[in-house]
Amino acid sequence: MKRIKSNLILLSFLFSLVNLKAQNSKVKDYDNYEPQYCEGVIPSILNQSSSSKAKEATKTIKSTNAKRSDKKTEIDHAIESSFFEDQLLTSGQILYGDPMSEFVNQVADELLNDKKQLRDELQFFVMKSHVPNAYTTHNGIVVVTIGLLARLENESQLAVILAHEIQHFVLKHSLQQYKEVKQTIADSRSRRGNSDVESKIKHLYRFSKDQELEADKMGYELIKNSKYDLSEGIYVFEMLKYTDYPFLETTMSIESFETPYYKYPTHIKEGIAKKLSEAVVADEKSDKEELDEETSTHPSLDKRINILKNLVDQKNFTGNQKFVVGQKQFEEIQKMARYELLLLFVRRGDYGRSFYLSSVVEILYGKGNFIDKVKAMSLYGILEHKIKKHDLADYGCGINQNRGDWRPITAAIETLDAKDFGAFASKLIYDIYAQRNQESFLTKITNRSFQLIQSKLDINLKDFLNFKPQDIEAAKKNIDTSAVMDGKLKNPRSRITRTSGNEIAINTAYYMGVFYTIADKKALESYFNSVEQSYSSIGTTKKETYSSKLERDKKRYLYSNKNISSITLLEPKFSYSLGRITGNGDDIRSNRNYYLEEITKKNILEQWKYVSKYTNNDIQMLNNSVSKSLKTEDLNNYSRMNDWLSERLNNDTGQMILFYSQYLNLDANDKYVGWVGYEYTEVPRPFDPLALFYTLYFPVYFPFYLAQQLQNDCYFNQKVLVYNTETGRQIYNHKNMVEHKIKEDFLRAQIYNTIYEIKHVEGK
Amino acid sequence: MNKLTTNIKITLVCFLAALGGIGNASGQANPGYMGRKSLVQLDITGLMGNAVFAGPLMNLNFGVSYEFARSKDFAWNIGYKKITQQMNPDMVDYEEYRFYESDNNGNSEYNGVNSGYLTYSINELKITPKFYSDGKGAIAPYGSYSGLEIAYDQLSISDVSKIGWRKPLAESASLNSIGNVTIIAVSYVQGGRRMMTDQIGLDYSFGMGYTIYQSTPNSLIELVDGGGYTSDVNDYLQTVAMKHASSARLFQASIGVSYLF
Repeated sequence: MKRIKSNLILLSFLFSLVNLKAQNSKVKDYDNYEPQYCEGVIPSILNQSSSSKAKEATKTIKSTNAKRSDKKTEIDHAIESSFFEDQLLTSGQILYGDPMSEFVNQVADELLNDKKQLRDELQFFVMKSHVPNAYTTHNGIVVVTIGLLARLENESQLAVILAHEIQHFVLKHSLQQYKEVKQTIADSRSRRGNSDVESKIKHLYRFSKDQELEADKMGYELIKNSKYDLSEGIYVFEMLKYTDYPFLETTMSIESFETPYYKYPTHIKEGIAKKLSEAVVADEKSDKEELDEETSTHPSLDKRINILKNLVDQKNFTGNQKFVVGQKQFEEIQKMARYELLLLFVRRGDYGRSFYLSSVVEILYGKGNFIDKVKAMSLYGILEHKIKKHDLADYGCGINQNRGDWRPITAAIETLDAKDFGAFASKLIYDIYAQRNQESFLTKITNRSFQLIQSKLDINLKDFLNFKPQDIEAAKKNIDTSAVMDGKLKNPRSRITRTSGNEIAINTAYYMGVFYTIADKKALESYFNSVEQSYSSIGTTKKETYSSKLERDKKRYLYSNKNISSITLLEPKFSYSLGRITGNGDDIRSNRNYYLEEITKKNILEQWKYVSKYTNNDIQMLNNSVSKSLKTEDLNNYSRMNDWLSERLNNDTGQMILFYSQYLNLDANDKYVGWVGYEYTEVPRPFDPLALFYTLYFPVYFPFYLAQQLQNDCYFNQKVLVYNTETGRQIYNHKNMVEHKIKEDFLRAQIYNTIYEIKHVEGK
Repeated sequence: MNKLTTNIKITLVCFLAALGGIGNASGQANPGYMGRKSLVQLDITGLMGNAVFAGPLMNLNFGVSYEFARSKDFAWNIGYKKITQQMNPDMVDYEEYRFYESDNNGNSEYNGVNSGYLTYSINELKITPKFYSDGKGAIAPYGSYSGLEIAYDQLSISDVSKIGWRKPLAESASLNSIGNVTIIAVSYVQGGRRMMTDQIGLDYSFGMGYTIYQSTPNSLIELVDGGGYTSDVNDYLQTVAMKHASSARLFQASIGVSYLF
């Protein structure tokens, strides 16, 4: 027996060596970082259809001896969670087989070393989300976000979080919560419960908090018996207190970009200072609201910290290691998560944040092509939105959402007017471009930025060259050395107060001085010449007028689509719900029917394939629904396109260069991508007494009346978006709402019509 | 006569409305059903109106038509229909319009003589502007539609040799051949086309029709309103047939098969 055991250990050791080797052979190129996608063999849960999983779970619950009403709720929960899980796993946001999720799995292995059965029931994944969080599902899927991985300081902290999430699964909190919510809804619907809805909801919050504390408690037990250091849990809660802050901070404000010859005027700095002080007042107010114990689902972090501190003080735990799997591996995945976080902010269009964080990552890991590109992209993104007068709070410059050291710079970006910011951004973008002028993406956005400020902001580029500060000597004296970027990083947990910069005299059109100190003026001049010649391609601010909506749509979407021969489409999103009419009138309450949804979605997909073959249009469908034939490659293709589309949708502009365009690698013919969504609702037709009355006078009509009355009203929505990935331009956007049952011929007619409209409709 | 002109005016208004529809619709391009915009249709129409006024429940007639879609929600349908109707003695209106088999001498008797039949046939040319309902997912020529069918009919009474007329009962009523009558009728039609394959469709429609013009000396309306008899047998039979044809058109249903190309 001993021999077998030792052999097993040897085998597993060898296996881990092979694993390590495999990882080492694929060293990530951080200089030209590319988004991380899934690797290896697809997990088996994605090769079994959601409905069969739900049916299996239903069968198991039916065979138990529970109460009938309890069984029904459990079955509902099992069906919903089976379908929901698969949707989550195939959303294009989940990673498996990559270094990050592999590491999370290794920590889980370590944590559940002596609980093999439990370990087999659990599966761990990493989710591409900037929000620091972790989730557990009823069927044992634990998801940790990239936002969380980027913030963790050591392996023990990850272990504490995993232990907590594992307990949610062990204690079946998801099912309990589901039952409680169902009960609350049922009570609030009934007449006697109506007056007491508020207390019911409070009860629900209390219930949720009790579950959290229970998971904490049991989680600590798991950590106590492992090699990990329980006291690190305290830092996890402290970290969670600072989720509005960047994961690491460095001083950055508008003064950080000043030079002896280029100072920002007082009125701008006063404006920024005012905004910042207002934000502090808003912070205090929102903090008070957050502290309200009764209206939050989680217990307060201070309370959790105190409980854990008491436990740590008792010192009845053995583990004290911060790293068990390995510090090197942890640092590697931490770096990867931080690079991914930059990408996530860019994808979300949170350019204020990505601009700030790129500087932080640069200090942390050194300069690089990728970081420069993120920085340039962020500035360019803000410029596009600023020119279009969009609310910059939606683009990562929201002062109230950004606490900590990214607040001053994002406040400044929001405060500067378009011309000020145009000069600021184009100078920084040019600096990056000048350093890396062979980079095609950087060249693209630099050209576009200069063309933008020239055509939309009426800035004459030559004025940059001709500008001379009026009082150079006075400006030199005002050098404020304390305000420039110090290049030091600090943890938000150890916050210190900031000092504000000095005031500088106003100079009219001062922003022209932004290029004054640039060394290679000749190169700049020749660059300006090249930009000036091509700026007509960007268009002018002139508004086009159309005689009708139809004409506008034709010009906007349809005129240029004749040459489309191939479209890449994300697999259609589909929701099938059966409704019923409640109350007195048009109040419809509907529930999704997951089984019908799966069948109909399959049907829709087949019709798309059929019609696309029929029309000789190459429609490539990027599949992501669970099935026997689903592969990692399919999911990655889907994710890649989904990432591009998310970035595009988060930047609601007509035309913009997108960061993820670099990673699409599409042929010239495949540059069109689309998204299709379907929604289908069936509601029984309401009783029509008048029609029944007619039948009394005219009995021949009765069969027709019956046929009409017994039908369901069907509402079918189709939404299609198609984009040109090369230009970022939306070429087709159509919403189709019809009242019809889903039949094969109907689907074909609709899909053929859609393809036809995208391609053929000609403008006059 | 006033009523007749009013009817013609209504028809004109309907036509203009149809033309207006075409003007709006022609700006949009039409994919048809899987790229097919034209079709040939064979159908069986049941005229059910005479069931309301007694007579057989449904009288089946065969028609053929050609349809072409002009835009996403508009199509023209041009067709021919042969309607053959037999009026039998079970008709409710027998107080006035009962027919008797004539004896070998051409005499007819009210009592103890078998009832006779009057058969008339209509050659109908029709043109129907069809409006396909976008809101129901229709794309011409697929899906549900509503249309305005305008029919030009030539009605002729065939096989009149065995028909007697009761007034006066004892008289011989052997008839000479009766000439054609022209009818113009308008029907409002609602229907749809579902596809069984990519090219073969199943058609169904329901309609309500109204005769707005007929060329006999006694206008239909006058006869119905006045209820009086005319002295001329030919005129009378034509009027009777036309009243029947008109009432039959009041409710109509059809099923058919179409071939899209």
